[in-house]
Amino acid sequence: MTLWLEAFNTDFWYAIVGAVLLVLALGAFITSRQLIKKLLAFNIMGSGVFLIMVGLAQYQHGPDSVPQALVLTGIVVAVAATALALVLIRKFVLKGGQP
Amino acid sequence: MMWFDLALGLGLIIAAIGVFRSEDLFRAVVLFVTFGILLALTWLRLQAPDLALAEAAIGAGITGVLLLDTLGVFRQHEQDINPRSSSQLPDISRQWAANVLALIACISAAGLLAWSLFNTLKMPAPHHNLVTVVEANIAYSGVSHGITAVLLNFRSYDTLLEVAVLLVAIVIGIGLRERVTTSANATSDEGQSKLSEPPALLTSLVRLLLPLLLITAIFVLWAGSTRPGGAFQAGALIAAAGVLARLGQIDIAARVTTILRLGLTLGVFIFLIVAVSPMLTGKPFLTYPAGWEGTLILLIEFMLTISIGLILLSLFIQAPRPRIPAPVRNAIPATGPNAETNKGGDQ
Repeated sequence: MTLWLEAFNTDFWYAIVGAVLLVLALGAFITSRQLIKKLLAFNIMGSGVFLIMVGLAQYQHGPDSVPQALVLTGIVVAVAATALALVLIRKFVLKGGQP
Repeated sequence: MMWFDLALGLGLIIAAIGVFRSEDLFRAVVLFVTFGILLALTWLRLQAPDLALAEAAIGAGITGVLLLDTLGVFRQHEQDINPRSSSQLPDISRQWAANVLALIACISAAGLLAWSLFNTLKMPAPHHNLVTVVEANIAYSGVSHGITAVLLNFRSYDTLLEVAVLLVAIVIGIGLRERVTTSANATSDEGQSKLSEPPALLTSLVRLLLPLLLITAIFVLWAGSTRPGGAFQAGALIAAAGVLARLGQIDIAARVTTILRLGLTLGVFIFLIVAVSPMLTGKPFLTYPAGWEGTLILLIEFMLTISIGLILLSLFIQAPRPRIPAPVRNAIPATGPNAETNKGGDQ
């Protein structure tokens, strides 16, 4: 327990928050019936992964531009995936499916 | 400041739970945008201003607009077609199976993450880390900002592939758009402009904001070589400007023309040319000629900005929507192929 308190700093705290978000979003992704909510859960899951990536990489030696650049790439790919998923969901709903 | 971090982290978790628990989709989307803004603040606390910029513009801004627009389309579609099969009962046994599966997945993921986080704490700090490597090599990269150096020099392969992913997304998006709209474009545009004349306040605001947004985008792009900023944030700003213009009924990229296609591919095209040309002189793929790094990075970033902005904007504009505006269709009792020909007479 002392080990946890010793190394506990801002970066590590956000890595833990990211892990919690990842787990919660995973559950919501499986259980939710609405496609839009699945998509939101997928996005939050991604954000959790990003927080873990940056937080864990930085907690021992401060700001690190390599994971930050990778996460920047990830954010842009995530928005492209979301937009594409929305196109598919809209097509599906306009053809008579349930949102 | 520790209390602020604690509150912010808990706020993120609460916003996420709110998204998952709300039955109303509109509420969920608004909470999701709130989550995005809190996440942008979090990136600032993690000393990642580039990510904060990107998250505010892309994660909260563009994604929020796309989601809200989709909800609007659903609402219009529900009015269009009488609610049918909405009384469809959820399959109880399937829901139970999903719940059990979710529980197992959550417990195992939580256990694994807790175990790995705990083990990370026990590890000693590595002597050789990426921060020192980047610091040692940044002088050769042509730019002085670490993240731009990583994105467009040290790991430019990732960025090249990322832009290719964006291009694939928009190709599929354009491929899936309603084919009928191209033939019935004139009539449906007419109907839409009659339906929703933009408010005067919005039009004048758009006129004021458009040049400001474009100038900010160019500044953010230019700043990218020395400070937080760069092609992705600038591209998101351009896409936001386009979305605003679209809301003010100024049509950009509404139709797929040769020029739009050229703009969409420009980023990948120029990036590939710069990447391949050193191979002609026997150097490896994706090496910049010495002395030209800064100029070439700026050129690539400029083209990427145009492409990313246009791709995000087109994904918004080209998304499928109901063909005929709802009130017009409701006014006509008989729906079918002759509904469109009737519309002209009714107006």
